[in-house]
Amino acid sequence: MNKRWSLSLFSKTVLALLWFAFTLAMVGWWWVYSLRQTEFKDSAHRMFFWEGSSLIAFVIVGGGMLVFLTHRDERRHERLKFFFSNFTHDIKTSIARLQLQAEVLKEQTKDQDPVFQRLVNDVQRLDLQLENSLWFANLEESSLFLEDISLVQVLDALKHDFTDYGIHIEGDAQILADRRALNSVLRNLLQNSVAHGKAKNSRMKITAADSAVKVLITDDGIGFSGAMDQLGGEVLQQQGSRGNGLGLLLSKKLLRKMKGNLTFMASTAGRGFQVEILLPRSRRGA
Amino acid sequence: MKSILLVEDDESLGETLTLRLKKDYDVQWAQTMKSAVDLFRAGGKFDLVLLDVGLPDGTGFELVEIIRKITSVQFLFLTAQSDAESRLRGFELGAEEFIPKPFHLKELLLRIDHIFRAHEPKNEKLILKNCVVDFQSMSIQKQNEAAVFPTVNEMKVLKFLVDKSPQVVSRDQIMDAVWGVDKFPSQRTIDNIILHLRTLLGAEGESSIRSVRGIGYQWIKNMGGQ
Repeated sequence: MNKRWSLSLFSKTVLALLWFAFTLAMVGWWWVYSLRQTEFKDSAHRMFFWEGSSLIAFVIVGGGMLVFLTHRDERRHERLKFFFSNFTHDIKTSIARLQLQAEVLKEQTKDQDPVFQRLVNDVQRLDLQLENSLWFANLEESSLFLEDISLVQVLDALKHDFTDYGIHIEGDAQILADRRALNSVLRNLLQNSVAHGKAKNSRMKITAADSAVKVLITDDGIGFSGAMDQLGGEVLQQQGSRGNGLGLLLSKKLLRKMKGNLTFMASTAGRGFQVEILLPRSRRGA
Repeated sequence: MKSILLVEDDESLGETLTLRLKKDYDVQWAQTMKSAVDLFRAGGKFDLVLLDVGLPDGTGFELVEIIRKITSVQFLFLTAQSDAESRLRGFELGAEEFIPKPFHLKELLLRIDHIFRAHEPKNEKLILKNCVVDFQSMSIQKQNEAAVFPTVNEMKVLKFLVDKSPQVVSRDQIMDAVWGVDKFPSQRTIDNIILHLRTLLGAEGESSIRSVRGIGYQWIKNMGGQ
């Protein structure tokens, strides 16, 4: 990653330098050529001399500033990236520490104290919020690692995140997706069902077509009575509900990045919420 | 008992994880790259290494490159550094799993168990009523007859059918599993291989490999007796 980063830094600064050198050479050539013309009168010669000198001075100052600012911007970008990388590492390790202690304590408590489960759930929510913020801050630049994944494996792993929630899976298919991004999408959708839909169960039906795999997720919550076209389209103003739509917006963007799609199906209040995920099917098939 | 080496620089995480893993495995914990390498150089034998990527004196990737020169132990990454480039590098180095932090204890234990089970030596023999198929020596031995040696692809098709049983597998799935996604042998090739396998398996061939019209083939366990 560092090698790729230094290459990009090198390219941007070098591009600015190349532009500077080329422009300065062209202006310099034009100036020297004009001054050598003997048919010009003295006044014209003087005019070429002073205007040319001013132009060259501006090109040198402007070009120099461009190279300097490009370099400074790149350095700042590099520092920001370094900060994000360290911040992510430190905060994720801290959350891992907290989650592991809570899970070990929960395992050791024979009478299954609900406080430990609540603690685990809260740590997971914190992790999801952090993950969403990190994705959002770096979505344009972050690359994905698309791999062959068994969809049922990814969906099954969600049962560890939502232990008190019923996840019922029908079917399976091999897909081409980024495991971390897909996990974020699914966690956001389920968190939405739990926190805003008050759902207790979700049914996930997988159907595979020639080149795409469809996952229809239906929960048994209170559904959504607002404007469906606003969901996943923008960060919403908070009105009564605690959510701002960031998770759904991010889910949509991540799926598009994986060459998939997310559609919110028409929902009737009180009759659950339904979303459809489309993902590219792996050539290896199910 | 299986042995695990945990390479984790975080004191609290390392200590808790070591204590928990010790319930099921023989665990040693190293906090730096150097101490992990020293354990291997001192002749330490481990069945699995759980590695963090960010270590105080190097990276988990560098550590794997050193360990690989000493032993061929299985390893998995347990790290907060889970960007696409890191995951790609981890899998390129041969990681069994790449588990991002924070992780679920149960999920980690399941994945460790899965790795151990996946690498257990398996019985590679398929015993039928009148013959024995040995996938290791790639042979089929009928009673009172000399062993015959089918082609590698024929054995791969048979193994795939047996592994997937009772699922019906399509010709496309067989092609992908045996030849890979980049090669496209004709469907007739698959049919010829099945025909030859049935002949080699004798009387049980017809009953064990069922043709499913419009889809492909199925290995029938009960009749074949796997």
